[in-house]
Amino acid sequence: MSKEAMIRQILVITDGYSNIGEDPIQCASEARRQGIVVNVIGVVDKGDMGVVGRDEAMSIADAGGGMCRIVHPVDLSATAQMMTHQTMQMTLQQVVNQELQSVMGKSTEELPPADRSRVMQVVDKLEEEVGLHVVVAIDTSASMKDKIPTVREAVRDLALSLQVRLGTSQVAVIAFPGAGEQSTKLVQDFSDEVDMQGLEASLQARGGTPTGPAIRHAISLLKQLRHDTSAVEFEDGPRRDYA
Amino acid sequence: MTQGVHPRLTKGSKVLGKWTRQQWVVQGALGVGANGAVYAVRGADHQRYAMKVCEDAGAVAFEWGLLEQLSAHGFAFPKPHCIDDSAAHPSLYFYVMELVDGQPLDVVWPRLDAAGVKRILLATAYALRHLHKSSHAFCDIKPQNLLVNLHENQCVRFVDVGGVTPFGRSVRQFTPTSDVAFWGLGERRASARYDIAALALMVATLCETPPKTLSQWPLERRQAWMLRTIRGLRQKRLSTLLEDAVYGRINHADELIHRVYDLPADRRPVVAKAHRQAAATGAVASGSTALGQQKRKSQPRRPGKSTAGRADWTERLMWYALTCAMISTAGAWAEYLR
Repeated sequence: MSKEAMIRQILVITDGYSNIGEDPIQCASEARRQGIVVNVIGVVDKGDMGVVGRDEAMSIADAGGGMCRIVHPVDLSATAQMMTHQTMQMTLQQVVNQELQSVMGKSTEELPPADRSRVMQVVDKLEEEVGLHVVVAIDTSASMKDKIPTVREAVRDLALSLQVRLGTSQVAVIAFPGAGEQSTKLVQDFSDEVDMQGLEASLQARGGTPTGPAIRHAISLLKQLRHDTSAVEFEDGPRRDYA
Repeated sequence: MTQGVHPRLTKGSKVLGKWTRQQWVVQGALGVGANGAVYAVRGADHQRYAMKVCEDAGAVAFEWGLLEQLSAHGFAFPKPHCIDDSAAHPSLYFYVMELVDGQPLDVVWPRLDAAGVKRILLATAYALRHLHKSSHAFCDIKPQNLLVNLHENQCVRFVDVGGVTPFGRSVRQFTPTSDVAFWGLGERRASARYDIAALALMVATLCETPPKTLSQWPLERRQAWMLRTIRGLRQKRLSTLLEDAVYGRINHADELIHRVYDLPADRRPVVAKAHRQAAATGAVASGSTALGQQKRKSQPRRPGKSTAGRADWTERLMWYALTCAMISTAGAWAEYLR
């Protein structure tokens, strides 16, 4: 396995349930079919997300093969990083498991614990070296108003963590809803650091919650990037994507 | 994937190892966290151990590998004993290690004087030096991960090996208030400097509890708060040490050890009285939810500041009375013998 292998993730940060556009759960299953993991963080402050919001967040993560956590704003930053790390590890473990199955006819769990420990060291090393593309989709509906400063800091903090990895890491940010009649907007295209001024200017809370269209937008960004980079890296030999 | 709750092991339940066929009797929970739970257990040899239990076979195996690797470098971390899967419970993976005796630093902290702080910093610096020799950083330095036992020679032990990272790699597990990148003072990459700065940040946040809204503040405001806290300490030599560490000017544990030796070791607290109170209440609040929390003995409270003042006054009265009595006795004797 080489360094040009890529892991692709979408991180949805929201505080309620979707009320505009297509079904987010269907969009998440679509992402999963394309080899993209969808993680969801529900942010609550004083009150609760409500049963509907909570259920939807869980279902999106289930459909997208990712994780879901409902947290207070204070824990947002740490949670975003923990999830990115754990789901990357999950993806890699699945790949390693497949390889083990085909070579030895055993899964990691069936190995004696001491051997398992060696396998995990390999997974850990891969996780540091593998390429990562993350789209952070931020809910900027009216109810998010007070939480936007925290979300902004959390996105910056996530980028800080990813910057120092040995593998390449690129983060793009989209906001939903977008300006005017648009359901989403691109705040920042893939880059290895986050433009804080840009975030400050374009994260304005207003309107409803088009979660589905946001996931759809994120998928198209990731697909686009894949075409671009494969063209660039074509000479280095065949690329390998983890699906 | 949503993380399920594994069947909580209760006191008296037995865990039989699938591979080693050893049996462990659970004696109680020591702490529960996001990535598993730690229990006190008794083995077939009647010795007490700590057992880390997790649903994720990978996470358990990975931590075990780290513990084994580190046991060759110093004794800061618990000694690894064995790794196994439960034969009876589905997807219950565990490893067994030495049971470290001690209290989390945030519980001990409010009772410490300057000499105690110096001793703990020194022990931590030595433990870090051992760890750094293996080219690993601890990374997740927080009060709940440092167990203190002032009766032991090696009075500080590290628990929770999950954050340990080889030098040069990105830090995966950290506590925001002990993380230089969170304060905008450095990058989140494992190094000796990262650990030393984390230790200093932890000491500063023990001296004064950070405000709840800290994570919403922009970087400049966070930095200003940190600098004000460090410079506001009563002990000037400790302030300059912390400031140098936080700004990444101490790059090696050896240098840290030298600097800690220079600290005064008197009986006075390192924080001014008002701060001390705030720190104490904050520490109790966070201490009750501590993960690495070991048994908490109820310790006799040392007299606080106000009772100390009254004691001084009665003491002075006592000496005054004694002196008067001696003088009058001497006078009486002199009168009698004359």
